[in-house]
Amino acid sequence: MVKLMEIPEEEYIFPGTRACAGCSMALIYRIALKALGPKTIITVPASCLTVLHGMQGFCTTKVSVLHTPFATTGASASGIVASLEDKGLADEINVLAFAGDGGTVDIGIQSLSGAVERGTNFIYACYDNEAYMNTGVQRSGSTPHGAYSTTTPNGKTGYKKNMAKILEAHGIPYVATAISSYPLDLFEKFKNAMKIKGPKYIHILAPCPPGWGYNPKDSIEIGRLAVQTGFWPLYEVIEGKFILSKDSQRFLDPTKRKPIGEYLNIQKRFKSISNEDIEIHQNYIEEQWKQIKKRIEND
Amino acid sequence: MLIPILINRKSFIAIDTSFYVGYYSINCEISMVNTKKDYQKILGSVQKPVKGEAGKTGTWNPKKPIIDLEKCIPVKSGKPSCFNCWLYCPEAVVTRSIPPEIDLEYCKGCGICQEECPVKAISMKEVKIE
Amino acid sequence: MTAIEKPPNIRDKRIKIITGNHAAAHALRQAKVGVIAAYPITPQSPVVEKIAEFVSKGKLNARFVKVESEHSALAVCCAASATGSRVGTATSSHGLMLMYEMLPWASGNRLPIIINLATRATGAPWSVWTDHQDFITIRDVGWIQMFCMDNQEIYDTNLQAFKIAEDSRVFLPTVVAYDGYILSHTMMPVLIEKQEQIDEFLPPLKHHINLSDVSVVKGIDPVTTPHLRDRGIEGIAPGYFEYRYAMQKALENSIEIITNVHDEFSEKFGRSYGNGIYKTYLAEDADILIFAMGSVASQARNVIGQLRKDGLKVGLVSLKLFRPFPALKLRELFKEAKLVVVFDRDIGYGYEGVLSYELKAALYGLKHAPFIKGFIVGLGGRDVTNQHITIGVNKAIKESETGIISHETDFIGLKLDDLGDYDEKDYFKGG
Repeated sequence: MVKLMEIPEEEYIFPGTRACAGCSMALIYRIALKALGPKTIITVPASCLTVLHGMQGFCTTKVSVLHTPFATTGASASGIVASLEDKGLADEINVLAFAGDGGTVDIGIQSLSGAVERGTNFIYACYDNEAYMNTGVQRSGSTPHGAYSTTTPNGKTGYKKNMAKILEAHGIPYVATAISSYPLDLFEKFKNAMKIKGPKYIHILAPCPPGWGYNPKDSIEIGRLAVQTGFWPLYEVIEGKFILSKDSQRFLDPTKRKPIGEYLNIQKRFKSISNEDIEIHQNYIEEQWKQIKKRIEND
Repeated sequence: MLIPILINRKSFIAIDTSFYVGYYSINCEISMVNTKKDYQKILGSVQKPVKGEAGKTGTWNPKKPIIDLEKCIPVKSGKPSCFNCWLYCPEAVVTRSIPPEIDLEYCKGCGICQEECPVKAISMKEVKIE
Repeated sequence: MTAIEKPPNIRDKRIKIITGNHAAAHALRQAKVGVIAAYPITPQSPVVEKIAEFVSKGKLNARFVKVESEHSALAVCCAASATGSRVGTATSSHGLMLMYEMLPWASGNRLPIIINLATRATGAPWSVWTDHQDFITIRDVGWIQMFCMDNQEIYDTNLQAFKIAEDSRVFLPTVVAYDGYILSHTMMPVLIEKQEQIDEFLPPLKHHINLSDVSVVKGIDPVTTPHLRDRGIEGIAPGYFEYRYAMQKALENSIEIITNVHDEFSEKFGRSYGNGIYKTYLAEDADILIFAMGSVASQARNVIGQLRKDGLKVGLVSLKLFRPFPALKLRELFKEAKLVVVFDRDIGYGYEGVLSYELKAALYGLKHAPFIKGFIVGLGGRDVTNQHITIGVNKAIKESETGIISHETDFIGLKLDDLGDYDEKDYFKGG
């Protein structure tokens, strides 16, 4: 596990962005850019990140960014990589596609699937705040069961699309899950991804203060609860081999997992949740960890 | 009511009594690009990096994190250690120095550093920024 | 209609007998594109196949991205162009419709992308045959649009298109269109020039964005406001209105550059296409002018001889440059004409054939504006025959004598009488 002092001190984002106070995505982006370094080109679809990057004329990053329409993140990254390969610069310059859950799981899934199927050499990072937050909290395919959104005022029914599993099924060399609350783990995952050639996918949970309904100062603690309840297991799948991350390992033992109610009840978006809904969540978590256990035993 | 003030033969500034200032040209053509060739200086929409793109975001919250240097771990030990406040800050306004310094002009006052400090060395206090 | 000053020697080894699709593929190869992203669609698929063949045989050193949809195809092209590579692609009909979201993106970012459009009717109902509807549907997004009449012209126009699009005074994406099946799948002799000659004519791309140079940090294409953005010493940024003004002016100004590049091409390679904007046939002394594009103009040319024998002073104007619409040049050309007969292989539904009403608008206010009569022909690939053109010209003459301009569309070539008593309500009943 990487140590704090090994993380570069240099910042690649200027302060004074339009991100909300306590925005997890801002923290994720900051850590990701530290891992990638200055020789990077980033492509970003319509998302909260577009706003963080700044409006006309002036941007907030020290690396180049290509904004692209909502559905095209994967294709845009393919295009940048193709052009760099044509110019012989592909080994020197990193290409990062950084999209939200809406732009990955819903509208962007086709171009992402195409890009990874073609073996494009890039990192795709999805920051998942579990709804279309930039346009005012509408539900996405990544919104969890029972959550309030403006388009599911009675709570969403149906579960989160498991994008990490979908990308695993594409047979790409690196798939990982991460979260803003464990930045050292996140940094290491980006570094691990950079060592591999081919498509890499990292799905990062990003708690959102206005969207999820909590005080911004609790952004890190809420993320920790997501991991501690077993709701969000942190893992990597490298060349098909499943590796449970250090911060999630003790939660293999169900007695060590905190009850899911502790995570759900402090978020305003779950305030109308019923006991049945909590049970559905708990059962899903149990099932998820049974499968993780099987995978570890088989590998 | 508009009060016109002539500035040159082609244009005048009109000042509304509610202090809205508009710029009108006698030819009724408001244009920053007058010659046929000027349009070639504008191509696609491009951005260059600046600090404080959203303005002085320190004004978002009057409460600011103040570090109690007697409790702060790296200050007490004199060695690089802890630095949770630097690690978890979403805005990159904390420096990884001894002591850590927070840029109060841009700190949005989210309070994450206060929550994550293991020795409760940081407290959010109302501070006046000049 | 190709005015060849020096007819090529039929034994010239550079001549290949190839389809329009392959002519486009050869042009993309010789233009040395860096990235091609294309998706197959009838009738353009052979372009994609030929490119793949070139790449696999090492004849084209480009990255061929085999995308999963046309929307992604143009997205890949936009990103690759922004990174600094020369790009090209090909599509038809619904592929172009699927690309629609990206079309204003490419022109708004001023990316010199070339699309080869093998025109095809748009559904519903499905049709794989040609008409010009897909070509005219995209006329308001800010692309340069040109139409070709034979395979040599497809090859030549592609090469000229790169030079025009990449000109620093232009920087706009371009569509080079040709009729699906009629040209795309028909073999004609095409003189493929030597690579050294092409390299002399077409210099390497000097892109204004070029993200591959990471030493200069650029944000491309952010959200803009209606206002200017002034940050004092840090600089001032134009607003959306200014960006779009610049794009429009670049389009207007590109007519001059299109004619210059055309003249430069014909000087070097000995082939010209009118003045690069339109081609005329026997139009100098004509009272009646036929105005059409592509396959329709090719067909009309066959009829001019007979009509002249019948005593009508008819000439033909075949439009090559559709966007930017050359209104001033057409005003100059048509100012002496008495009657213009427009044949549209497309229709602005709810109004008229697009060439017809755009010409009427262009000639608005002319002191002795000609009588303009438009016809709709050949939608969905219905053959446009000599008979259709003749009927159209004669009908137009009759109407011009009444002096009343009709705004209802007139379709030539319908077979409603042969349908008998077709009624959809009864279609499913009985045996």
